[in-house]
Amino acid sequence: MNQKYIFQVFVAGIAPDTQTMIVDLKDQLSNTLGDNAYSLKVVDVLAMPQLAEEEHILATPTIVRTSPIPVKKIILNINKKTADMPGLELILED
Amino acid sequence: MAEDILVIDDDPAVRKAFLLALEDSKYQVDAAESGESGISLLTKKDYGMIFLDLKMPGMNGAETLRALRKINRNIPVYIVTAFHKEFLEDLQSLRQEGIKFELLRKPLGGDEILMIANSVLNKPVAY
Repeated sequence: MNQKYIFQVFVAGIAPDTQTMIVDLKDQLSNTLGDNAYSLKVVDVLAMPQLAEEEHILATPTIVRTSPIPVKKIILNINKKTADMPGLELILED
Repeated sequence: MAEDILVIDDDPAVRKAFLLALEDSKYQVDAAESGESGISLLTKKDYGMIFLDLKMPGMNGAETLRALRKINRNIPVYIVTAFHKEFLEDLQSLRQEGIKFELLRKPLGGDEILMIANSVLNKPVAY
Protein backbone atom coordinates (compact mmCIF):
# COMPACT_ATOMS: atom_id res chain seq x y z
CA MET A 1 0.00 0.00 0.00
CA ASN A 2 1.43 3.33 -1.02
CA GLN A 3 0.50 5.82 1.66
CA LYS A 4 0.95 9.41 0.71
CA TYR A 5 1.01 10.70 4.26
CA ILE A 6 3.32 9.37 6.96
CA PHE A 7 3.02 10.78 10.46
CA GLN A 8 4.71 10.26 13.81
CA VAL A 9 3.25 11.47 17.07
CA PHE A 10 5.58 11.95 20.04
CA VAL A 11 3.93 11.55 23.47
CA ALA A 12 5.06 11.57 27.10
CA GLY A 13 4.18 8.02 28.13
CA ILE A 14 1.35 5.74 27.07
CA ALA A 15 -1.48 6.54 29.45
CA PRO A 16 -5.26 7.02 29.19
CA ASP A 17 -4.95 10.68 28.20
CA THR A 18 -2.41 9.99 25.45
CA GLN A 19 -4.42 7.01 24.19
CA THR A 20 -7.53 9.18 23.99
CA MET A 21 -5.59 11.79 22.03
CA ILE A 22 -4.20 9.18 19.62
CA VAL A 23 -7.68 7.76 18.91
CA ASP A 24 -8.96 11.29 18.35
CA LEU A 25 -6.04 12.07 16.06
CA LYS A 26 -6.62 8.92 13.99
CA ASP A 27 -10.31 9.77 13.66
CA GLN A 28 -9.44 13.24 12.48
CA LEU A 29 -6.83 12.00 9.97
CA SER A 30 -9.17 9.27 8.67
CA ASN A 31 -11.99 11.75 8.23
CA THR A 32 -9.72 14.20 6.42
CA LEU A 33 -7.45 11.90 4.39
CA GLY A 34 -9.22 8.53 4.31
CA ASP A 35 -8.41 5.38 6.29
CA ASN A 36 -5.79 4.01 3.92
CA ALA A 37 -4.10 7.24 2.93
CA TYR A 38 -1.85 7.61 5.94
CA SER A 39 0.17 5.85 8.61
CA LEU A 40 0.66 7.09 12.17
CA LYS A 41 3.49 5.82 14.36
CA VAL A 42 3.37 6.55 18.09
CA VAL A 43 6.69 7.30 19.82
CA ASP A 44 6.86 7.36 23.63
CA VAL A 45 9.54 9.92 24.47
CA LEU A 46 9.92 8.55 28.00
CA ALA A 47 10.94 5.18 26.55
CA MET A 48 12.76 6.38 23.40
CA PRO A 49 14.09 9.89 24.01
CA GLN A 50 16.80 9.44 21.38
CA LEU A 51 14.13 9.34 18.64
CA ALA A 52 12.78 12.67 19.87
CA GLU A 53 16.29 14.12 19.81
CA GLU A 54 16.86 12.88 16.27
CA GLU A 55 13.63 14.50 15.08
CA HIS A 56 14.39 17.73 17.00
CA ILE A 57 11.16 17.44 18.96
CA LEU A 58 10.63 20.43 21.23
CA ALA A 59 7.67 19.28 23.30
CA THR A 60 5.06 16.57 23.69
CA PRO A 61 2.63 15.91 22.18
CA THR A 62 3.98 16.79 18.74
CA ILE A 63 2.75 15.38 15.45
CA VAL A 64 5.32 15.19 12.64
CA ARG A 65 4.52 14.77 8.98
CA THR A 66 7.54 12.96 7.56
CA SER A 67 6.01 12.45 4.12
CA PRO A 68 5.33 14.20 1.85
CA ILE A 69 8.18 16.63 2.25
CA PRO A 70 8.67 19.23 3.56
CA VAL A 71 8.68 17.72 7.04
CA LYS A 72 6.23 19.62 9.23
CA LYS A 73 5.60 19.55 12.96
CA ILE A 74 2.95 20.99 15.23
CA ILE A 75 2.69 20.89 19.00
CA LEU A 76 -0.74 19.69 20.11
CA ASN A 77 -2.71 20.55 23.23
CA ILE A 78 -3.55 17.24 24.86
CA ASN A 79 -6.55 18.77 26.63
CA LYS A 80 -8.25 19.74 23.38
CA LYS A 81 -9.91 17.50 20.82
CA THR A 82 -8.28 17.97 17.45
CA ALA A 83 -11.62 19.00 15.96
CA ASP A 84 -11.63 21.93 18.39
CA MET A 85 -7.99 22.75 17.77
CA PRO A 86 -7.20 24.98 14.83
CA GLY A 87 -3.89 24.15 13.21
CA LEU A 88 -4.04 20.47 12.27
CA GLU A 89 -4.61 21.53 8.69
CA LEU A 90 -1.13 23.06 8.77
CA ILE A 91 0.43 19.61 8.46
CA LEU A 92 -1.95 18.57 5.68
CA GLU A 93 -1.17 21.51 3.43
CA ASP A 94 1.79 21.40 1.03
CA MET B 1 -9.51 29.62 29.27
CA ALA B 2 -6.88 31.13 31.54
CA GLU B 3 -3.91 32.46 29.62
CA ASP B 4 -1.54 33.23 32.48
CA ILE B 5 1.63 31.16 32.68
CA LEU B 6 3.48 29.93 35.75
CA VAL B 7 7.21 29.17 35.59
CA ILE B 8 8.72 27.14 38.44
CA ASP B 9 12.53 26.97 38.33
CA ASP B 10 15.21 27.52 40.96
CA ASP B 11 17.60 29.07 38.39
CA PRO B 12 17.05 32.84 38.16
CA ALA B 13 18.56 32.91 34.65
CA VAL B 14 15.94 30.43 33.44
CA ARG B 15 13.11 32.36 35.07
CA LYS B 16 14.40 35.53 33.44
CA ALA B 17 14.61 33.79 30.04
CA PHE B 18 10.91 32.84 30.24
CA LEU B 19 9.92 36.33 31.38
CA LEU B 20 11.92 37.96 28.56
CA ALA B 21 10.60 35.56 25.92
CA LEU B 22 7.00 36.29 26.86
CA GLU B 23 7.18 39.95 27.95
CA ASP B 24 5.86 41.30 24.65
CA SER B 25 3.22 38.58 24.32
CA LYS B 26 -0.35 38.68 25.57
CA TYR B 27 0.49 36.20 28.31
CA GLN B 28 1.02 37.25 31.92
CA VAL B 29 3.88 35.29 33.48
CA ASP B 30 4.45 34.57 37.15
CA ALA B 31 7.73 32.99 38.22
CA ALA B 32 8.39 30.92 41.33
CA GLU B 33 11.86 29.96 42.61
CA SER B 34 10.75 26.74 44.29
CA GLY B 35 8.12 24.04 44.16
CA GLU B 36 6.62 25.32 47.40
CA SER B 37 6.14 28.87 46.12
CA GLY B 38 4.78 27.58 42.80
CA ILE B 39 2.17 25.52 44.62
CA SER B 40 1.26 28.55 46.72
CA LEU B 41 0.70 30.63 43.55
CA LEU B 42 -1.48 27.91 42.00
CA THR B 43 -3.78 27.94 45.02
CA LYS B 44 -4.47 31.65 44.43
CA LYS B 45 -4.82 31.91 40.67
CA ASP B 46 -5.87 30.01 37.54
CA TYR B 47 -3.11 29.40 35.02
CA GLY B 48 -3.32 28.23 31.40
CA MET B 49 -0.07 26.29 31.59
CA ILE B 50 2.91 25.62 33.84
CA PHE B 51 6.59 25.22 32.99
CA LEU B 52 8.26 23.11 35.68
CA ASP B 53 11.95 22.39 36.20
CA LEU B 54 12.78 18.78 37.04
CA LYS B 55 15.95 19.22 39.08
CA MET B 56 15.42 21.61 41.97
CA PRO B 57 16.80 21.63 45.52
CA GLY B 58 14.25 20.89 48.23
CA MET B 59 11.02 19.88 46.58
CA ASN B 60 12.06 18.53 43.16
CA GLY B 61 10.01 18.65 39.97
CA ALA B 62 8.37 15.24 40.46
CA GLU B 63 7.32 16.05 44.04
CA THR B 64 6.08 19.46 42.95
CA LEU B 65 4.02 17.90 40.15
CA ARG B 66 2.36 15.45 42.54
CA ALA B 67 1.34 18.39 44.74
CA LEU B 68 0.20 20.50 41.78
CA ARG B 69 -2.03 17.67 40.57
CA LYS B 70 -3.81 17.56 43.93
CA ILE B 71 -4.86 21.16 43.26
CA ASN B 72 -5.52 20.93 39.51
CA ARG B 73 -5.69 17.62 37.60
CA ASN B 74 -5.86 18.99 34.08
CA ILE B 75 -3.75 22.12 33.67
CA PRO B 76 -1.02 21.42 31.09
CA VAL B 77 2.28 21.03 32.97
CA TYR B 78 5.46 20.98 30.87
CA ILE B 79 8.41 19.40 32.61
CA VAL B 80 11.51 21.11 31.26
CA THR B 81 14.28 18.56 30.88
CA ALA B 82 16.94 17.19 28.57
CA PHE B 83 15.61 14.30 26.50
CA HIS B 84 17.96 11.71 28.00
CA LYS B 85 16.97 8.38 29.55
CA GLU B 86 18.72 9.13 32.85
CA PHE B 87 16.46 12.18 33.39
CA LEU B 88 13.28 10.56 32.12
CA GLU B 89 13.37 7.27 34.04
CA ASP B 90 12.04 8.89 37.23
CA LEU B 91 9.08 10.21 35.28
CA GLN B 92 7.91 6.72 34.27
CA SER B 93 6.71 6.12 37.82
CA LEU B 94 4.69 9.35 37.75
CA ARG B 95 2.92 8.11 34.64
CA GLN B 96 2.22 4.77 36.31
CA GLU B 97 0.60 6.72 39.16
CA GLY B 98 -1.71 8.32 36.58
CA ILE B 99 -0.17 11.76 36.93
CA LYS B 100 -0.40 13.78 33.73
CA PHE B 101 2.46 15.86 32.34
CA GLU B 102 4.14 16.81 29.10
CA LEU B 103 7.81 17.17 28.24
CA LEU B 104 9.67 20.23 26.99
CA ARG B 105 13.22 19.81 25.76
CA LYS B 106 15.97 21.97 27.14
CA PRO B 107 17.92 23.97 26.26
CA LEU B 108 15.34 26.08 24.48
CA GLY B 109 15.37 29.58 23.03
CA GLY B 110 13.04 32.52 23.42
CA ASP B 111 11.30 31.92 20.11
CA GLU B 112 10.64 28.32 21.13
CA ILE B 113 9.16 29.40 24.47
CA LEU B 114 6.77 31.74 22.67
CA MET B 115 5.89 29.06 20.11
CA ILE B 116 4.91 26.52 22.72
CA ALA B 117 2.90 29.08 24.69
CA ASN B 118 1.02 29.97 21.51
CA SER B 119 0.52 26.32 20.57
CA VAL B 120 -0.99 25.42 23.93
CA LEU B 121 -2.90 28.58 24.74
CA ASN B 122 -3.82 29.88 21.32
CA LYS B 123 -3.26 28.29 17.92
CA PRO B 124 -0.57 25.78 16.91
CA VAL B 125 2.03 26.86 14.40
CA ALA B 126 3.79 24.50 11.99
CA TYR B 127 7.57 24.45 12.16
